[in-house]
Amino acid sequence: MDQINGYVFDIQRYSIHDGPGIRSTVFLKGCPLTCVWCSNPESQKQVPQLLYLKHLCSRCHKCVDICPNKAIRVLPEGDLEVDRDLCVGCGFCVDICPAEARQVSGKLMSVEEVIDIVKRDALFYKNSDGGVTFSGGEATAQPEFLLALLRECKKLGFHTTLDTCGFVKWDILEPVLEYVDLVLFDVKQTNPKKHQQYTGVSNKLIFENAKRILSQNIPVILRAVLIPGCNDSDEDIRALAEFALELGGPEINLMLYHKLGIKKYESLGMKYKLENAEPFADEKIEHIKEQILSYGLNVKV
Amino acid sequence: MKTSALRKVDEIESYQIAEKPVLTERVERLKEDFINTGIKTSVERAKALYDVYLEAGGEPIVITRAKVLDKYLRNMTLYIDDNPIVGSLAKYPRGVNPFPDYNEAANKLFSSFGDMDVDPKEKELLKQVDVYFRGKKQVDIVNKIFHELTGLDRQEYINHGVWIDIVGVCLGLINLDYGKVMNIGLSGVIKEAEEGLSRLDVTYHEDFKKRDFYIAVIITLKAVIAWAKRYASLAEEMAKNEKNAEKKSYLEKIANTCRWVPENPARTLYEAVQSFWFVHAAAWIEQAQGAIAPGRFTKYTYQFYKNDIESGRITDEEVIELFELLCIKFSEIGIQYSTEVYATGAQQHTAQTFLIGGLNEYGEDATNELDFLWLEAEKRVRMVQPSTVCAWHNKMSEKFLLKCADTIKMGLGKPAFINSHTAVKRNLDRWNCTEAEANAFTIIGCSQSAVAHSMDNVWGGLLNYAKILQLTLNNGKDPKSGKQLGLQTGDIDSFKTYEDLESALSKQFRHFTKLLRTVSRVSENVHAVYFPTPYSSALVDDCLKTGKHVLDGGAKYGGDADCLAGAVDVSNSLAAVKKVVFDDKKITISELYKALKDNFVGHEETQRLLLAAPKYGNEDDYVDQIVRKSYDEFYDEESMHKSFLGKDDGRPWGVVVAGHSWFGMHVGAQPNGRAAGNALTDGSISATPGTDRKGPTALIHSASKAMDNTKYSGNIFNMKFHPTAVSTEDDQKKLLSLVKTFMDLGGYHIQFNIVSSKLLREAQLNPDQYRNLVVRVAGFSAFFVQLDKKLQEEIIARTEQCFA
Repeated sequence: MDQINGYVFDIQRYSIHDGPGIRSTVFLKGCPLTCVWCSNPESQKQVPQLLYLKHLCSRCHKCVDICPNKAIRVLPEGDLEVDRDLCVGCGFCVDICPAEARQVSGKLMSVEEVIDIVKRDALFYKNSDGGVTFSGGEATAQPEFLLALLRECKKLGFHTTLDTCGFVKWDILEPVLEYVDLVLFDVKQTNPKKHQQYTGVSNKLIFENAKRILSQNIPVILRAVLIPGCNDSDEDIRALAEFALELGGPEINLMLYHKLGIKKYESLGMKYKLENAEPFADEKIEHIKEQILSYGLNVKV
Repeated sequence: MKTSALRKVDEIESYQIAEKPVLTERVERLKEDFINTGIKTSVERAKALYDVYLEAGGEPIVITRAKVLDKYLRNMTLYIDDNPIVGSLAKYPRGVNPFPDYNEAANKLFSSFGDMDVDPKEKELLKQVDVYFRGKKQVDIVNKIFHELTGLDRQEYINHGVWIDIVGVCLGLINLDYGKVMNIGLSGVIKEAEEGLSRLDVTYHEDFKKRDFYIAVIITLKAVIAWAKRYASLAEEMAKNEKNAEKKSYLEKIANTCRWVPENPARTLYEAVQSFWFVHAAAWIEQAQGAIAPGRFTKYTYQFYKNDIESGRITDEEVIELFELLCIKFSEIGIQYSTEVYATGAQQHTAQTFLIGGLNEYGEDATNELDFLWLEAEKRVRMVQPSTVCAWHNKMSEKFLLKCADTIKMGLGKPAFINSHTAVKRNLDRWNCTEAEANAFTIIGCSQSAVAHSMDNVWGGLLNYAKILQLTLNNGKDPKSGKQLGLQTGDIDSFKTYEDLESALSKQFRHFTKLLRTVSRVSENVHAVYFPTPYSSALVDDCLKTGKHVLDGGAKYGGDADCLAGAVDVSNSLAAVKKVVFDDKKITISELYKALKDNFVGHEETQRLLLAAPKYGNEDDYVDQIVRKSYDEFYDEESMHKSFLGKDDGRPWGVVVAGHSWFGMHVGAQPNGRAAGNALTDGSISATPGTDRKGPTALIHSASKAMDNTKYSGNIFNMKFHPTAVSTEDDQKKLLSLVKTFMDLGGYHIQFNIVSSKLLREAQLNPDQYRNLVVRVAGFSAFFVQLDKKLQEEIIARTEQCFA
């Protein structure tokens, strides 16, 4: 097994909405995009990050003394504040916290450690035609680690799925695809300008990659991330459907906006930029679905 | 739509998904009545009991017991309501019969339905009967003999929460041969008894004893027939005065049916159901707090359904309604609890275990149309009883499994799944029965497999392992009362190594297991000698052949059994001591002792260390192996003791009923970090709430090796899922793959509770109990209790949507 390490922020077992069957989803840390709606902000940076869940904190201040970098400050009312410049995500404060109010997201793991976990559920994969999904962050942002993990999974005979934002150089993506049975390809915005505005990068490379992947006959499901006011107008949906048709009409899964990740921003000391958005009403979802269906495309929510 | 063509299971499509369960107007009304009707004690059975005992003189007890049933069935006040299936245990709907002959509960008035209401005049009579039976009650006789044998006071152990036993309650869990009555009528069974009687040469002692049994059987069977005919007469009477033509014909149909069954063979499905109901209800009247299982109902009624469908007499919709009505009847059965069983909070748990799916005698899939229709009825009527169990096997159709998953979605925890292959193997290993008997097994109690209508499954008692650990850490003494309940196995300071603790615990464990076995065997003997059940025995193989009642060795197969509670709590505790005290040496054993004594107050850091130690349910052998060892040890000690009949078929059951909360009240702070008084872990191989943090597949890995499922007769394993995990057919298929994997790994019983908004509210109030509760909504996954209030509210709102 390759002696490569990588940053993982979660391994979710009995994952049932990330590809066929029962799966384990390995979430790799680090992402080249900074989508304003991101519901996993802890996945963006590649290094371990401390999450401070203020509402659970009992203000015992045990963490203040144990922190080797003096990164925790006591505010006048007894509340705590993490100095993000000093915190290195070492996790000493996590171990000492009696209220489970502190967590470190991101762990440096070896290929062997990850494989040890995912192979435990081999029988579940077999019985359900499931397998292993690599997600993120952006899984391809740690290409060597990803490649090593995929190779091991294929050695074990597991079905592999790659969940990707598509923003990756083709010469990095191509060797990875050799070990991938299904790609869940995120589509966020067809308009390059708006894409740049909401995600921080252009969609040019992303769309080129989508076409290349499909031309290689690898099964693809498009995951359309729908965000109110960002990409949900009739015009946006029309463009999405036309893009899908251009690709040969792969199945589209709608990933609907939700606000469940907002608290994470606070606990990471980050700012949430989409304060005013509200989840879609059922009628709106139906409307979007019908619009896509009218193009003869297969769509699931 | 009437159809004459018989459909195969594969062709049943229409009942696959019924989004909004539609109940007929009368089922809706009956269900409403059930919910709104108060629970009342009926004193009529106690009166019949008292009268018969006063007149009994010196006659054999089996005859007296038969006469009690006879007198009650011939005199009880009857009623007929809008449920065309007639027959009830008492004169009130949801009426409960006290059993002053068995236990002290007649004075306490609690039942499986909750606290009971009793008429003041009737209460006086009840007191009188209660006084008459003092010293003669089953519980009194057992206490006396146990004291004679051991010098110990049984009640003391119960008061301290060391065990709950079945003294004063049912003799066991039985499954009767309902199919036989449908096919040959009770008249046919009477004929068998008469033939048995005629075969005897009563000048020989053995045969002379059998004579009384056969006579008693005939008395009771005739009583049940007479009881049914009284309903027929009542219906006729009511019909005479009825002006409404529809109601008149409804009553006439009841009259005609009850005049015919259960005396004669059933001719239609409706008659078969009515026959079943009389037979079933009478068994609940004969003995205190039974756990009488309908078992393979959809198999032994199938031929009647088939005939009805072929001749166009019934439609599937009508069958569904009939089944809904039967579910209401099952739920109306209430039992009176002894004080301690009541205190366990086993509300509505009457263990009327109902098997669907399963195998036929050749080992082929036994699923038929009625299994589908039954699930559809359950989905629509949503009653707590019966306890429906799908006997899963690897030849089961996906269509039927999806129907099960679709019913689970309703959130009633039904059906549970058990592994047929394990059940068959267990039957063959344990009882050496025929292959046909092993294949066509049934389910009784909570999840235990059994040979259909051939067994005397006697439930012994439920041992509280957590209490035993507490006593071990206190040199056998209860720290609260100061009573020396256990052996003196050394002060806690004398445990220099983990093995020292383990060996002391083992001594205590085996000591109490042996004591409980003694109680159980004494109790079973008292049941057998003082409280024979000729009626139920007549419908259990081979009692009529051998001329012996069930507990006299008449049952073809059997075996008494005790159950172990707290194995997971104790194993987590042992792992914590091993890790924190002996391996990591973070605290001394004296510090541990002090922390437990102070219930962790002022020892929060110690509690945190103990909570952080390995816990069962996370695929960690450090602790999982201790769970296995605990169950193996209990099995080993139990199997060293023969059954009360001197047979080597006594084996423990891995079920906990609902003892975990009551037991928890009697156990102080534990080394697993649990504070004093909190409930123990539910189920027998479920993880302690809040401690399985690695997801469902890891928990399944731990659970599938927690006990030897061929040795144990059953286990209870509960898992919780958010409704989004079963909302679509695709999700349901994944859940079914999870079930299959659990079974492939050697698991036996698994049950799914679907998280409701109510449960999430509960989690908000008691976060410690729900630390493991993961909610996954729209790609978002989090431990619920770690979310802030606003977010929790949002999740609750989304959960409600799933049930809307």
